[in-house]
Amino acid sequence: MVAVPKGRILKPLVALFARAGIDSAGLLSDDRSLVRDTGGLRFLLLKPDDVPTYVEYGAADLGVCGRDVLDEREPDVYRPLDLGIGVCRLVVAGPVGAPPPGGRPRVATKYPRSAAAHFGARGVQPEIVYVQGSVELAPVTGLADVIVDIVETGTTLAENGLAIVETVKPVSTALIANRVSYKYYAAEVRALVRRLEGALAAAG
Amino acid sequence: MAPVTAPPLHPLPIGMRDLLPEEARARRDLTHALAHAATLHGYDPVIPPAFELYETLERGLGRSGAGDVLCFVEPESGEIAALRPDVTPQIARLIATRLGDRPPPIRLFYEATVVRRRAGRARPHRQIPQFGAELVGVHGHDAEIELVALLGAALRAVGLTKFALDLQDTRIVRSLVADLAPDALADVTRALGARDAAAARAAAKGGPHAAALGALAELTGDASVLVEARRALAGTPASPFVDELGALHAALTERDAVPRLVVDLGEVRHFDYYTGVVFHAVAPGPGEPVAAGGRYDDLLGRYGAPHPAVGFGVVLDALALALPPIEDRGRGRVVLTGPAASARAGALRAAGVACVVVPAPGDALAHARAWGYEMVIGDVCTMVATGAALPTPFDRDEDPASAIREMLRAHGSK
Repeated sequence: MVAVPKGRILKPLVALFARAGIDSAGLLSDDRSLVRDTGGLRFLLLKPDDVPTYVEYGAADLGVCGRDVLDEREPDVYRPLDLGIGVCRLVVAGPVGAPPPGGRPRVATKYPRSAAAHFGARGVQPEIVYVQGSVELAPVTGLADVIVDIVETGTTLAENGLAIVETVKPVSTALIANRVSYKYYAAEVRALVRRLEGALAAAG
Repeated sequence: MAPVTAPPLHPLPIGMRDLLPEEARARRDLTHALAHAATLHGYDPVIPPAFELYETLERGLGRSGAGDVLCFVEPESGEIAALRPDVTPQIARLIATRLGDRPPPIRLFYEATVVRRRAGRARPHRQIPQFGAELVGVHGHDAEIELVALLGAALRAVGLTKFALDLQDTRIVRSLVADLAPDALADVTRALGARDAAAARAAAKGGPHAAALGALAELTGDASVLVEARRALAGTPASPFVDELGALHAALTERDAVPRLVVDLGEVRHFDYYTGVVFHAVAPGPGEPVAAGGRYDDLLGRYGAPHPAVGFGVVLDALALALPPIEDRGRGRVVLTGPAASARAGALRAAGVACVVVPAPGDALAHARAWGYEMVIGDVCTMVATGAALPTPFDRDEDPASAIREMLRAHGSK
């Protein structure tokens, strides 16, 4: 049972599985079922934030999850392999041309812990405003001075009059495993990891 | 008509919960079966207290476990008390301070609920009911073999058929990280804890054993892992410990102590006090180990009575999740009603049949259904709780208990 996130990561993931010799094209088919049996595996299609939950509780043995979510939530799961897909950055961004906020900046983010850790490491105590989406709106409307969010191309930022202030950390996607499944199904999990490793190495 | 109101909530603190009769009955059966297995292996029960002085617990837990402890100020003395997050240090204290005059080996078992704080994690602090056993005073693998055999027998006795035991020796990782700086050590431990081989290699870079530490993250599997490990760790200080683990693996396999063994050389998650072999019992279902344990040769010394020791704790909630769904274990119980009920109840109880008296015949069947009783016996007729009427079993002179037992036997329970 493999938990995978719906959304942008699915296409490169299916391509990676294909290179590893696993046919998961069924994940891309346009129907609404959330459980897909394909390539000898059972996949669960979940919201990205829910993937580590399913894996931590053992409802899924393996999962595919962004390191942004892993670092934010610190789920109790194994992370045996970086999949090298969904590569992006966690950044601080603010209005173009605005001076860096002094004193106690207000930060809007989906990643309150990562944001607090980033500012905390340099002695800044920001006021964190938790939002679930459309984070770019926060500086425009005055909800916050800056945002902390993941950025792939920067197009969305630019379209909302924002620019990257600094990079917090690079983000990619990892294969994660439930602690018990990793041990109990060690042979199967290791075999899958090796095949994916082989596919990643071949892609250079 | 009175307005319909929702029942009051009176919520519990996060992570606390009640077990209602069906689950509580199943849980009691579970702990009885585990205790019976321990008793058959020569283990004696102890009951340590729910909280202790923080200072005393911390002596055993070490600093790393201390953050998981729920503390409060004891109002009488002003001292800091801690709800036990782990029973093993309590057993160590108990043996060192109270049982020092008895000759080892000391074999003890316990059933106790521990409380752990897990600030900021997906699962917050919670109560963890445990069953555990400790074997104190035996050097060498004889102790691990005895204890794992007990764990295997106990889990099998409660009906767990599909489970595996993973084996690791804490000295394998410790011998490889001995030369690392504290920061690198923390990073390597975190990387191994996540089985992230790339991160483990990166964190150990520059140290003498970076490649070996990276390899550990991937060394999980059947006995073939031991062969790989001997190759990957050849010439490192960890090498002799892999050989020792191989010998234990062979001995446990020969005894069929557990259905399956897994070697997991990347395992770093265990209490600080473990000094040698550590293991987990894992089974499909709960997503977390059903039991964990290992060797802790220094712990009793911290309380002033140095002894080698091994122990395990079974996580009862996880074990219950790994077992097949709860059957109705309240079967064989009887509701008595009608004028003769009280007199019959005495005779039934003396014969070991559980029964309750419901004076009003009109309420008897409803009570039986609501509380899972199997049978209602009145003066007129007898019914199974599903509603079917059976001929009344009682003649005036007949012994009701034997009649009931006969009926229950005919009915397939007991």
